[in-house]
Amino acid sequence: MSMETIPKDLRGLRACLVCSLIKTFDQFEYDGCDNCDEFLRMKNNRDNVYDCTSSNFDGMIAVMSPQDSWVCKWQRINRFTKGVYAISVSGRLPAGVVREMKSRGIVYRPRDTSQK
Amino acid sequence: MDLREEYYEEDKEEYGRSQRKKKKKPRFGGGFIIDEAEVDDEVEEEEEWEEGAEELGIVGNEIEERGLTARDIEMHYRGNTDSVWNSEKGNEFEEYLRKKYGDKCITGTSDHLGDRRVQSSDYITQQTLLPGVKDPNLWMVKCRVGEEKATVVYMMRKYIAYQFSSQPLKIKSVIAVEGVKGYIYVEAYKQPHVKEAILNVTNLKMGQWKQQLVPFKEMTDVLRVVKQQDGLKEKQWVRLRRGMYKDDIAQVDYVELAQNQVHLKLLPRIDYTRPRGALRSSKSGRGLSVLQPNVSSTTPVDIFSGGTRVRRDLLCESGTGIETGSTSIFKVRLLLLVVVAVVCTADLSAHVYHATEEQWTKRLASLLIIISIFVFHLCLS
Repeated sequence: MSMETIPKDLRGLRACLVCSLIKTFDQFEYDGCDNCDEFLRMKNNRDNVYDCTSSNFDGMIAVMSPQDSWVCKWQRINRFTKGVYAISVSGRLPAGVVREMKSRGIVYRPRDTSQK
Repeated sequence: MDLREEYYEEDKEEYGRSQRKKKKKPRFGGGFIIDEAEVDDEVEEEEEWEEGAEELGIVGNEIEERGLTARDIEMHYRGNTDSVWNSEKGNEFEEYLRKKYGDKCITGTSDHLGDRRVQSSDYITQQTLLPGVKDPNLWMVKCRVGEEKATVVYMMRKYIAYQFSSQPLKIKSVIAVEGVKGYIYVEAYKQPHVKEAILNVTNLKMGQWKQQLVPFKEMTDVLRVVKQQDGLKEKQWVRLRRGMYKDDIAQVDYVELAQNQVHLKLLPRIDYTRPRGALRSSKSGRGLSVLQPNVSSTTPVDIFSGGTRVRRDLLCESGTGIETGSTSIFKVRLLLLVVVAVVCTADLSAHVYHATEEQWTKRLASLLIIISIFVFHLCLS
């Protein structure tokens, strides 16, 4: 956990569709997602960044202490790294990525909690 | 009377028929009003009617329900556990508990990705996460309007900067909610932690003295996101607010929520009468001409009258390029007969245009003619 995980700019922000971590597009491209890069492989892959992150998200949470925060528990981000997260992320992962996650035993849970 | 009858109804549910008769007699016999007994008789008649129903299997289901009762099952469990309780070996008992409850907390490698339970029980599992007494509180802190998100990012930076100092920030999280202007939420165990954290933060100067505690019951509401945007649906009719196709009516091809984009089908605004290629005069010039809204294209036009050329090298797998006087290339899908435009969702006014649907089909028909001419030319060249 370092300054690298915090959005460098307020423009061009995107949220990970799996864990809702917010970073700029470039940060996702340079470092990948701090929680999910094992299977999303966004590092140095612009296409994957485009597919697996969303520019359409709501709210922002600066997570300082995920283990004992209720907000993180409620958002189900309590086991992730410290950083800035979105409250709700619109959009869905491409079916291929969901399948790959499934083969690794991870159930994809859409991060869209918004009510319309 | 009514009350009695209700009583009787309850009775019926609780006991079997034979039991009921036994129980009823002392109750009505010992009552004050004798009239009640007559009423009871009437009901008995009704019961006789029910007997026929019983044969059909509508009533009595006691037979099916016969078997292990809850009590039997419990006794069975108790018997088993008793032996474990009595055997004073700690590890044996531990093993028993592990077997009974252990499987509920599997910890896998990918467990950090949250609950792995079935999606259908999402709502129920979410309810178990409701705030409790031991959870931190949320405090509403006044913030400079418009700087909510910047402040959240700033607070995160501040936390990291102080992380390994002698006085790290004790707050748990900072939240900026979309639509809540002039406030941010800070999660912490104690109010002094909040005060300490927001000290010397310019954007939060107004909130330095007073922080409002969010009641337990309202904590989940803070994290509830309600979207006003009436979701754009496929095949919906929309009108473009700005851009090249301003004021044109289009149909939603598909929506890409993640990219905040909508793919639209609309008619290309091509001025086919404009002279192009060799016919072009110096006056008509280069660059985009002011494209008129796509209004009067119900009459078929020959797109080649103005000298439009077909560029073979622009033929691609899904569409065909038509060069319109080297100004811009429209990708016309031969099958869809549309221009696929990618538009930001904010640029649309999403209303359903039922009235214009007819107009649209008319236009499509006219375009169909144009395209068929075009294909004909293509075959010739």
